[in-house]
Amino acid sequence: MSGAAAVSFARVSKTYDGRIAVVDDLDLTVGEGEFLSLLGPSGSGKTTTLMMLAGFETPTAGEITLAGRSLAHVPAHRRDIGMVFQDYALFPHMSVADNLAYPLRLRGMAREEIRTRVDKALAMINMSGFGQRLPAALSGGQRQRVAVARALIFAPRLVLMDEPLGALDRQLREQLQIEIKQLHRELGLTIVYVTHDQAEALTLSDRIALFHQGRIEQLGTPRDLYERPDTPFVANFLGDNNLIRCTVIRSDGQDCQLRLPSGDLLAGRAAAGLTSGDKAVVAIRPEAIRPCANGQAATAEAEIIEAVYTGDQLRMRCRAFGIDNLQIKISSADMPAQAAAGTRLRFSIAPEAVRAMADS
Amino acid sequence: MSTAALPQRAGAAFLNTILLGMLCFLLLPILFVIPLSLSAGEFFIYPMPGLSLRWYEEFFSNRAWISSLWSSIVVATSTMVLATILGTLAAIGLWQSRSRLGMVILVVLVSPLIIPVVVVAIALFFFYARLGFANSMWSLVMGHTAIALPLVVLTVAATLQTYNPNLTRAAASLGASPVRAFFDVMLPLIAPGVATGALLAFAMSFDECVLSLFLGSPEQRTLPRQLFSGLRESITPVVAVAATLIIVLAGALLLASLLLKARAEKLRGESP
Repeated sequence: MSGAAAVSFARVSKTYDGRIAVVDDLDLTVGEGEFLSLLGPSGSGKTTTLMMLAGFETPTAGEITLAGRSLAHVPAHRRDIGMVFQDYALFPHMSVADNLAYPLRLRGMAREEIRTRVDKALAMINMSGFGQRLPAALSGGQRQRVAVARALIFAPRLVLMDEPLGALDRQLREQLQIEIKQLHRELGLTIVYVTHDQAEALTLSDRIALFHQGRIEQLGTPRDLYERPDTPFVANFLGDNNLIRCTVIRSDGQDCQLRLPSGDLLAGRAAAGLTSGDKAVVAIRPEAIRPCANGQAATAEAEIIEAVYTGDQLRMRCRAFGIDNLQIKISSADMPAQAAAGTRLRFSIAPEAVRAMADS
Repeated sequence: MSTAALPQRAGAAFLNTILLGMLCFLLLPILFVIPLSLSAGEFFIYPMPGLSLRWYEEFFSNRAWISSLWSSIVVATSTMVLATILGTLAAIGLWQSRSRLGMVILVVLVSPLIIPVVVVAIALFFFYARLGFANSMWSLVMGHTAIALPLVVLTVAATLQTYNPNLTRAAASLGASPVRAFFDVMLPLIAPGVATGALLAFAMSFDECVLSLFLGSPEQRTLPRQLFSGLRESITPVVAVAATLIIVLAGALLLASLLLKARAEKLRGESP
């Protein structure tokens, strides 16, 4: 992950009308060489945060620094930050080669040097021979690659990407995710990446900042956020989850004992700040609920209401713990012999997979 | 053919007839003037006594007509340059602005299109007279610029609707100053709209009469003004020659602006 801080936001706020804070008192540090994703639903402030970093929006309060220098009075064109736009923003009247050469021409580079660099960049994205095409003559994936190459060709200190894969189909998106990750590793880039696609953020990022209503709800590695969410919002936003209200009976700061409304008792791990007697919400991943073989100790028993076979998985909706929408996912390999609706299923849950959080 | 198609066809025929009637209403007076300029006779009458180019010769050998043609070209060109620069900048400013004031400013800018020209002319006349430069070529150019401005603002604003603001941002992120980004990226892409606005401004100024009457200098009569006084003093087919020249030029400019628009639409279709 990170060495020195490349970017830091200190108490940054942005409001357009003076009342509603689109970005609310944001503190965030991006390490040198880090891949940080800003994830969140639309309107959560992640894009505004990126735009302030790029210099297209001005913070209402607070300070942003890049490599230790304040960006307060640095206009966008002097920030030396490469950016990939969601719609790619390739110049439609310039050829691919001219698009790539543009930042180099602005820097007064000699013509020969520009040609060498453009050729190298085209080779890097496997598009040698496409230099003379106009952007309109390229496929979506090719445009995306050119947009990435153009943002990297002038060796910027920082690269911003605003939902760069949002307009592509799933297969292409997954392939380009791998390519972006490769570029990040090989070139040692610092990347701030905005997305609303949680799978993309989990796949690509060193760390994820999950935005909610202008604030960072949780900041951490993909595993932190997925396995140890701090709030019900995080637990719900990333992947599927079973959220059940409960009461903390006992907690030593990490291990805890929970009572569900049904009276069932569960052992789990508590988020920071939970103490005995607190009302809480417990999150259990559908894939963490495992069926037990006969004779094995079970946590509880469920009645299957609905079962859907998806090839790699069996997904079930069950009645247990006093609710009738407990989601369970079982790998097809572990499928029990009896899994039709109406059957009863004994299951166990490891305490590490039971996460209790303060009820927000 | 189904029975339902019959009334539909009748309706279409009816509409086509109305369309044809309207086109005739608009075009016939113009089409009658052009042959008259080739008349061999002294008067505005059909049937013409014969064909000749004598009135063209008369036009191009008469100093008053030539100088009026020349001053029209100078005034129209100056108006075009001024209105295009100011109008394009105004359209871009309004397009970028998030302020609600933008709407008000647009209405003010476009108002010369709505206010009767005579009213504008009288107001400008007294205003410029107070400032001491009424009845000069520049007062006329400024008057024409005021009423040509809306044409440029509206055509450029329409083109900007199709311009992707991320392109300017992309240019900035790549290191282009706002001025550089404008000339390298925005202007080439909105050029068809700017050129259309410029042509309309030129055409407007070239055949504008009322402001020319109020604001023009006595020595520098524009072509429409000379035409106007020509009509009062002596109605000879030389007036038809002047009218023909104006019609042909205006027609050519209109055609050019349509071609530009078609080209712009083609470019837009191809853009990603």
